[in-house]
Amino acid sequence: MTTAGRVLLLSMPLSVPHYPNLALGLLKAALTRDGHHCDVRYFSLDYVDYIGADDHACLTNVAYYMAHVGEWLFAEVAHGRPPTPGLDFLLNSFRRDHPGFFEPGRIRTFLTAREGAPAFIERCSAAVDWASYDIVGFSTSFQQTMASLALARRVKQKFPQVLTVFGGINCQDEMGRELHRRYECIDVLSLGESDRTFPELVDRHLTGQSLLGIPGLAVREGGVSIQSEISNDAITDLDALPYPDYDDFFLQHAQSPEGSLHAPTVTFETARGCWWGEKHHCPFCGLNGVTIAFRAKSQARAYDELEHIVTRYNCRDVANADKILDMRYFEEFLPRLAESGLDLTMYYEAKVNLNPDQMTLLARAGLKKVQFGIENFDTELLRLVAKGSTMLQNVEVLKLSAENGIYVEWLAISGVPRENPELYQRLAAVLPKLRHLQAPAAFLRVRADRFSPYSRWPERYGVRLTPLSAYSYIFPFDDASLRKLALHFVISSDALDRHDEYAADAKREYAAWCAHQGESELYYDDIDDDTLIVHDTRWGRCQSTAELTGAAAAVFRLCWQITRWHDVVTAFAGRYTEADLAAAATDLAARDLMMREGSRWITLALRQPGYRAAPSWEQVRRGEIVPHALAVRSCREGETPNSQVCRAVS
Amino acid sequence: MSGTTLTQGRLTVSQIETILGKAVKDPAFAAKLQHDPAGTLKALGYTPHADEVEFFKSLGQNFGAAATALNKKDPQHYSAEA
Repeated sequence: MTTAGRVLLLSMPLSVPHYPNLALGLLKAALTRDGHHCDVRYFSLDYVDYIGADDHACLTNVAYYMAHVGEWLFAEVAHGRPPTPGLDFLLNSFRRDHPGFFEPGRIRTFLTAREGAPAFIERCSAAVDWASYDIVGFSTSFQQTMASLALARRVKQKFPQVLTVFGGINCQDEMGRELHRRYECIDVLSLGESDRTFPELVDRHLTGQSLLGIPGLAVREGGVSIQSEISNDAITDLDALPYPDYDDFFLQHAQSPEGSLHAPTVTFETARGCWWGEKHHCPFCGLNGVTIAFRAKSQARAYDELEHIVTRYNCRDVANADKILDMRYFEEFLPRLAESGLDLTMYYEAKVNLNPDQMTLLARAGLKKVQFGIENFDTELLRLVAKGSTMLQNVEVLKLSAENGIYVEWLAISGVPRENPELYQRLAAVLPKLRHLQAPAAFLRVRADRFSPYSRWPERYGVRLTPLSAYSYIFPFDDASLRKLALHFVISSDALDRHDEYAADAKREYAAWCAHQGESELYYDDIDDDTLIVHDTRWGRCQSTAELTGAAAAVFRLCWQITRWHDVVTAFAGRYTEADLAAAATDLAARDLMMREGSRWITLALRQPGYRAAPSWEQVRRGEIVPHALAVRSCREGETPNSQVCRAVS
Repeated sequence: MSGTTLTQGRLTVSQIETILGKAVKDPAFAAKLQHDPAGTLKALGYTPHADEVEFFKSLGQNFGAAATALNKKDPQHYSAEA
């Protein structure tokens, strides 16, 4: 590096207002390391102040994330047109896809925000001394493309000498190539990971060198978009990355009257790519973009970095950005965290195949919220989407989460290519048994991400793909262009056209689960070695209290986790006959107190003391109840949190 | 709609916001708008276009839930895309 420069990195709306942007934090750290001055401005936080936290929550509601309301708000100002009501979008896209949310107060909020978008961009334009920067970079994760384009357009009009650079998920590969071709306000666009390319382009630009030839960049020469191939040497040694620099975020968040209403969460990364997807790519998933190869930081490095950022920012709320948990982290990283005293409230994404000990270690390490790829409760459907899990494993992981005091976020998907309509009848029979466990955030038709197997090979799956309807109200281009710009696609086929009809019963059961989870409990109290009492208040059935004794109590207690029938018989050999055990288990299954799949069984009731049903997020945050698994462990190790608890679990 | 002059052109964002605001606060007006959007808007001096009639008719099904429709309690779930 020969010339120090000034770089401004921007996070535009709509974005999560209480998370720092990981990519911008990493790039700032890299540029600072190279001797440049770099500022990060969160106009996304300014926007929360501009419209208010409540209205911002309305715009960013994940229930209709795929409507792309955030992009629609800024679409007209991005294209230099005055805002119109946009009734075509509201009627033909939003109402059609999200009818339950098409109501006056919400639509009024949308319209007010859309009308205010040009003034907000003007406010951003006036808030920065643009001439003092050499380069301005825009991150386009979430719904940030249109607001970024709107501001980039304004900046280039006033300050043509400033180099504008776009990057992020919405710029990957073909999407980025088309964006760069279509929007002259983007000087340079990064088509893949930017850890190497961005610092290099900064150095070259500041020293007057051509940007041509840097892998993974689209650059403009003589007004023409010139695009290189994406480098296939993505960062493999994640330990070589700097610690992210979030100073700007925490300063701005603290000064944001509306944004600071929600406490900040610090973002950290320990891995990229997906170790499962490398071998069994879930056919709808494109989360990893152009690089699915799994790479993880060393466990020592991951621990040191996490300790550094939570200490530096005095923030114990931590969100992990990985797409999947590295199973090796159970060996060192998570045990160290569990013993660290950092007292984290941590969020992770993980695969469901975790055993009880792993779940408890995660809870001890501070995991309070997890996103599991549960997807649904039918093994045939799970096989179609290559999850490598079963219906019973999904039940178990929800149960273990409740017993470990972990809140689960998950989406139920349906409309899977080549699905058997009959599976929805099986599903409709399973779901009423689970109402005391965590319900899904939504029951949705699966869609195909760009980079997913469905997107790459739709003919293999016998489906047609169409860009989500919202794109046609955001980008003023023809269908061919929309196909290149879209990140998400609707899946259709002649067979799937009947989906809403054959999945209606399952949809009703999911709705009942979501509506009545709070009224549903299923738990049991141990009375003595031979007796236990099951309490069942699951919605939709008669409330009951049942005393189990003998073989019934024995099998019920043993199957707290998935247990093979052979192991049940072996465990009680000489005490109960197999016939007695089978009769007991069959009776318990008929009463929906146990479930079986093949030769494996699980008890549905939660062990006590602990939660009597899956805890809400608010309950987990308050931490008033000691989760069963942690209470048992504490008692065994003599760390008596409560003598009553220990008597109960002893 | 006092103080608002409606024309034969398309409704502006502000005009729609004003109509929605009135409907949320005034159940009698909301009922009229739901059952006869074209007539109600005409009474305000405006000849609505077909999509505007459809828009208010569709929304009208939820005018009755005006208190919740103010939508100030959306949960701040973000982590699905974090």
